[in-house]
Amino acid sequence: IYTSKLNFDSVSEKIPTFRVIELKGKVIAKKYDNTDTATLNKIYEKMVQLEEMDMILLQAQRQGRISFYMTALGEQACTVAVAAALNDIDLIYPQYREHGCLIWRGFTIDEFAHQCASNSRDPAKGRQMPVHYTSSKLNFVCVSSPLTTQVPQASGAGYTFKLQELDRIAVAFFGEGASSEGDFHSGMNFAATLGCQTLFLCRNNKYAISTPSDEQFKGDGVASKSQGYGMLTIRCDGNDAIAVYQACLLYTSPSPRDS
Amino acid sequence: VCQIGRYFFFFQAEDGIRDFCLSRGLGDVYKRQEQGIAAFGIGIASVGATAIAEIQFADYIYPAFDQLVNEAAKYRYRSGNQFSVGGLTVRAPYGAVGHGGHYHSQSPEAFFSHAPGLKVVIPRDCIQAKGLLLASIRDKNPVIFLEPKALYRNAEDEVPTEDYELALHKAEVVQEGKDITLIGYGTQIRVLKEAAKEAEQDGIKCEIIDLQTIYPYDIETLVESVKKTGRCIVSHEAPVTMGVGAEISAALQEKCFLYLEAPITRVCGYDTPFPLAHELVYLPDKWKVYDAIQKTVNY
Repeated sequence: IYTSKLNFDSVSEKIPTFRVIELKGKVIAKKYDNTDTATLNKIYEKMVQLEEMDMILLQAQRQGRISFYMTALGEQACTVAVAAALNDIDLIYPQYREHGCLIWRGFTIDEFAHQCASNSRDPAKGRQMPVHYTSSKLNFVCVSSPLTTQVPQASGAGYTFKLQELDRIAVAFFGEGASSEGDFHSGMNFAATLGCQTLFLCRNNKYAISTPSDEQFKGDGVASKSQGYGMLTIRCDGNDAIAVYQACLLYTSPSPRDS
Repeated sequence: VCQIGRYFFFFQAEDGIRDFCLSRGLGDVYKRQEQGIAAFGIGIASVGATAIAEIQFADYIYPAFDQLVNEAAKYRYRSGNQFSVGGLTVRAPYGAVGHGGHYHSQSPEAFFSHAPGLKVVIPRDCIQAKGLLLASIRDKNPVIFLEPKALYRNAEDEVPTEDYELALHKAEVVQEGKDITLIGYGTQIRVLKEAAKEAEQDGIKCEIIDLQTIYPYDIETLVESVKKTGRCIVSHEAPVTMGVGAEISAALQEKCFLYLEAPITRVCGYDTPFPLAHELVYLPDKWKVYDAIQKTVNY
């Protein structure tokens, strides 16, 4: 496609954010308000449990009883509702704020505490700082401190599942700040061009530790980058558990699509 | 199995790999992105499959450094063995080639020999290349396999067509001698052999040892030899300071101090980027090694 107009092209419209419930709880997208009650109850229960656990462990850290802690406050839906939409066999490559997925899949409070306390019951043998959880049984790859390294690894795993013709996907979580790392570019480009069975989930909480997102991005956040790679993209309200759940289902059912 | 990256554009060392992979339902992925290549390979290995990731020149392996040192090396350790990436092998051509300069001649083995959890392997010739590569691929740990690029078109041998492996962590005594031990790896073994031939004319019998596995290396074979000869030279193209030679010298003097008749000498590249026009001046050639043999024997 050629043009004889000479000017800088830029995106004029931001990608809209999908939402089923608005802030005061009123359903605004009735078409997607069809999640069964049992699932809704479990999502709610796990989100509350996650918050309670976070408050206790955060206080423990502030009191010097454990050395380090990161909460998922305000982001409970981003992980619990995603895990609800996935199959248990889907392999999660976390960043470090996805304990909601572990809680959904059955990681016990004791197991969280053992890891945070680095005691002899921690299966990782006390080698990692708190919140660096791992569970091969629950298909949750070990958290590692370096940012974004998990993203291209998830592409590799999703590619392997495709070659092996498995009904299984790899899921890469990362924060919006992490999307500035070189590994993000690698991971997305490999996945898009190779059609990996990988779902990429960006938790944009508007702060990369303490850098606000208006200092992190000049363009339209992370979603526009995804479109740039030629990938199917949804921007979703992460505080709306039903929207998150429905958005993930769009990818995971009936069968994994090329990412 | 997945072969990632392909370098037939440069060396045609892998003619037929793509057809081989596709005909057997294996993956063959070609990308120009080193950190992605390593990370993708780690991902494949993390779910139990085999990934052979190739970096076009070892000089370009550094974007993958974080993934290799912070992720691959520590995958098993940090998860208490719940996850590991043993199926990963990273191959890269390394070393002087006659005209490569600082971005096509580097020997980066020392950087990766300082990351517990990785292994580093370097073959000296065709038969070793096949045996060590198969052993590296099958080893249940991530291995960096550096291939002497100068030998791609220069080395010929009768390589057995059947499957065979050469053991990792085992150095090989390539030539026996009683007067001095010469330790090296890769292309440098040829240089040591030529220097030894010169020394032979002076009646000096050199023992030559090929490390084969650089990290973790076979200290026992080295100690046995140095206790016998009492003299030692370590030689590699990589810069002398903080190179593999530095580690071996330190370890050997610790274990063989009272057996040594002379200090251990390192005949290595200088502490400069690898030059282009002055490559022949820079390389630890047979005359520099021969000179060191003379000085050590006459100490």
